[in-house]
Amino acid sequence: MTSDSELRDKPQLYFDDLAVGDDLPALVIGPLTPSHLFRWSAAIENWHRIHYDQSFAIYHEGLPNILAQGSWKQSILPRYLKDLCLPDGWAWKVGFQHRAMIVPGDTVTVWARVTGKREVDGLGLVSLDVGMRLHYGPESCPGTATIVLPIRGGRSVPYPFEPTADMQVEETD
Amino acid sequence: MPRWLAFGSQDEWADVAIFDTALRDTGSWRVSNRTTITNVTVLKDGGVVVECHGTDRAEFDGWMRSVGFAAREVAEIRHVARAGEIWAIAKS
Repeated sequence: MTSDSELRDKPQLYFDDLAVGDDLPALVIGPLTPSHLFRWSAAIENWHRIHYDQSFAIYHEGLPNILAQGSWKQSILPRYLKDLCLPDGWAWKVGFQHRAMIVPGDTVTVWARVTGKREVDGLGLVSLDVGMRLHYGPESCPGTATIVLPIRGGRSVPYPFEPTADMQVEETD
Repeated sequence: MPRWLAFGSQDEWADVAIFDTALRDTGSWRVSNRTTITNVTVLKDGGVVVECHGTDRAEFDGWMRSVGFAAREVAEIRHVARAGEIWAIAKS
């Protein structure tokens, strides 16, 4: 888990530092416990019993155990991308699928690999494959993302970042 | 979804360290996407009771073979009382 001080003192990742095929530093979370799942349910007031009531999950729903919340996964991937981009980049967008269930005991590796790079309006747009891989193999959240990084010697990424029409058009090609 | 109890033995599991190594990891009890080993109880007399739910009994049988569990009987569960909660398992 990345600490606050590590984020504050983090060296900037630049567009120039990356090449297609590069693996970005992974984030490892876990092993997850029922307490982690319950804490998330409490924090977002998601009271579905499949997330904290093991007997209900197993005997009523036929699940392997209580399940990590989809909203938790939806919070982790953007946080991971945001942390990669700090302090001056921008995690523009991410989309992924919910596949393998995550249960207590699982350790999750959040990962990203560079699949494309392009420079638009003096900013570096980096396309990524992303996911959350379980420790015993299955990929739980395959997806794609785009982050915006500064170019060495170039202009700053605006805060907040707003994509230009050129960026949007290029992205859909 | 069918649920079974298997009664048998696995002598090495009397050692809790070996038991832990054999069964802690998710991959050791999630047999497949649809089959889960939900409970394993080791008795002092050497017996072992395993509870499993799944859609394919063959996956449970395969798991028992893979861990060296010798089942003398496998029975389907009708319903369960667990600390005051009643769970109806079988439809009939």
